[in-house]
Amino acid sequence: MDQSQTSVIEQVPIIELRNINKSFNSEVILNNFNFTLDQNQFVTILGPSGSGKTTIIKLIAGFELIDEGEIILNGVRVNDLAPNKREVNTVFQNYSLFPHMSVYENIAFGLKMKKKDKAYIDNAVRDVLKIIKMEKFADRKPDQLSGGQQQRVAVARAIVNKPLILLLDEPLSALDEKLRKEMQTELKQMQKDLGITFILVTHDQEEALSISDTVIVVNNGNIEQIGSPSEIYENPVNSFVAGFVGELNVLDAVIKSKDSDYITLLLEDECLYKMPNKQNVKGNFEEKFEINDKVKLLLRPENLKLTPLRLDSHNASEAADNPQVLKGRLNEVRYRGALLDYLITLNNNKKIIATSFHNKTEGVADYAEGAEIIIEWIADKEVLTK
Amino acid sequence: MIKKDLFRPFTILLIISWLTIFVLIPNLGVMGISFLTRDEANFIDFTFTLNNYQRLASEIYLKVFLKTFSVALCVTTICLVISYPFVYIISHTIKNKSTKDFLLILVIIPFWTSSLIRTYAMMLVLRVNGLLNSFLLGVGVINEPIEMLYNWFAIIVGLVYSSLPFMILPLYTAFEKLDHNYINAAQDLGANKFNVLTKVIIPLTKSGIAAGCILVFLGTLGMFFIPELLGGSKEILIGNLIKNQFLVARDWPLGTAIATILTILVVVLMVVYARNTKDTNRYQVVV
Repeated sequence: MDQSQTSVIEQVPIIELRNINKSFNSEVILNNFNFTLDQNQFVTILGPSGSGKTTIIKLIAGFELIDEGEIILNGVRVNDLAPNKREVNTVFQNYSLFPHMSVYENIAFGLKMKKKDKAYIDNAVRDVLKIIKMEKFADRKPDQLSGGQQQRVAVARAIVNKPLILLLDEPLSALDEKLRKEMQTELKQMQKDLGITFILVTHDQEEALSISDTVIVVNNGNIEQIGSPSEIYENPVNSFVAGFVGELNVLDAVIKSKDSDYITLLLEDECLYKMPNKQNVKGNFEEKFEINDKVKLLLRPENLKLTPLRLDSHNASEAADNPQVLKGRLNEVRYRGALLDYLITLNNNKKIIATSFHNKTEGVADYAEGAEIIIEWIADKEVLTK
Repeated sequence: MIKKDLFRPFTILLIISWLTIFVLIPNLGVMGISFLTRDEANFIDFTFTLNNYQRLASEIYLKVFLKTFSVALCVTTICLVISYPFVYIISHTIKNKSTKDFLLILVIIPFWTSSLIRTYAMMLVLRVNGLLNSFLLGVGVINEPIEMLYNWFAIIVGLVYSSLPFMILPLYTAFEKLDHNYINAAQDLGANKFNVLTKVIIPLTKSGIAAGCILVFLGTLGMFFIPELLGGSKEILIGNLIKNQFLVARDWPLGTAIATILTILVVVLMVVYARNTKDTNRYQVVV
């Protein structure tokens, strides 16, 4: 594909969902869904079970019909189009390989249905078998394959049809940890090589963050946030997103004063903290805060910095009386291989967690359990929500 | 502990004796008698002969066999054609579980009623001044009652009606095992409705189709009271033929010879079916 052609295609979004509503038995599954995706992207729809994420795939594929709204696929409205008329293909959660057909027949099925000629089908099937490195398994039946192999065949069966979008419904959830990591890498590579948009549904935040160009976080049938993995992780719009995409400490706070540069918070009724006012800087950050609002300060465990509170040390004794630092007691240190988790209890008994690399030179690691500590964090990494 | 140890052999012995006394010995008796000679006074004369089987080779009897097979085939086909879409709808398109159960119970309830009683009920529906004729006359579709009873139409309707559960239940088992995602996957890959049916649904419900067809076909082969009551004794099928040899013609050896041939055919069909079905589905026919 030459450069000019690429740019022409990229002008039309590959898929657009407009005001999609869907209910089953008067229970709302999807509530006013809107998103637009471009060609050649790896997109994940991330959400807890029951959030409606699989329903989105079913609606795009056409297995379920939408109640309201529009689905525009490559510039064409496909609302009422039957699944066999839509140029998308699906990799099902349990793969759904036809048990009565061989690997070869499974992959050839879509092309046969499109009445391609025999030579074309044979070439195309051999090609994808090569891509998934399973040329030798062409004559096997699905029940003679391992889970990972079945998954590969399911992907091959879909991509051989050259769909506009490949939909993947939690295809990796049945695989063990190591195989899942391998398949993630393979899927990502395949997406780059094929240049088509993949939409992957998953509840695994690590998978979503590591594999995607765009993450759509859904909860209770609503889109919570759409953004790049780093936007989602570092700038979550609310505490649900923040908590779902990673471990999180939530500190209760009240806004005491604010001006254009700083917001002053009373954290956990204890510590006065002055944070830079970023309200107007970041796009996702739309909430307006007023004085005396009850808010939450979200902090990732890896952004917390712990310092020993030694009474003999000069600055520590100063800190002990300083209302601007948060203090706590170290409860437990948990060993996690490359990382260490510090479980800390604040003075009001709230528990928080800090994470650091194991062999850090600045030694928090040598803390005795029960030690008094000062908790600080990197000012830029905190998030304030209601 | 001793009691527990005896439980297993006792149970097995009980079943073996039951089957021996009530199945094996009578069947061996039937086969044995088929090689004996007819006797006016004592039913049978203990002289060995192949005469009974030679008599069956005549055209009249072959015609009865052929007719019976055609009727059974016809009934099986009609049952399959009626049941297949019905079962598909029950198990794959109706999502409400109570509706599903209700429809299945409608199928099963008549199954619990004596089929003889249901056949008499069928006569009430089909006869000249019966329910169906009254209804059609009332609606104005016909001007005078149609003769629906005592002909092939009545026999086929009666046989289809009484065999339907035997087709529906195995099909239902097969359809319940059919993951709807296979159908979704086929559509997703571009298959139209016809291809989804022929390339995916039918191959994946093959075991249910085979089990249902065998149950209906075999069940129909030996049926005698439905052809007699609804056909008005005008049409003779194998079942009637056998019954007549015992109760009318008093020719036990001939009757047992026919029964033996029928049994052999049934066994052959079962073996063919079992050979062509995977181990896991082999016993579905018994269910």
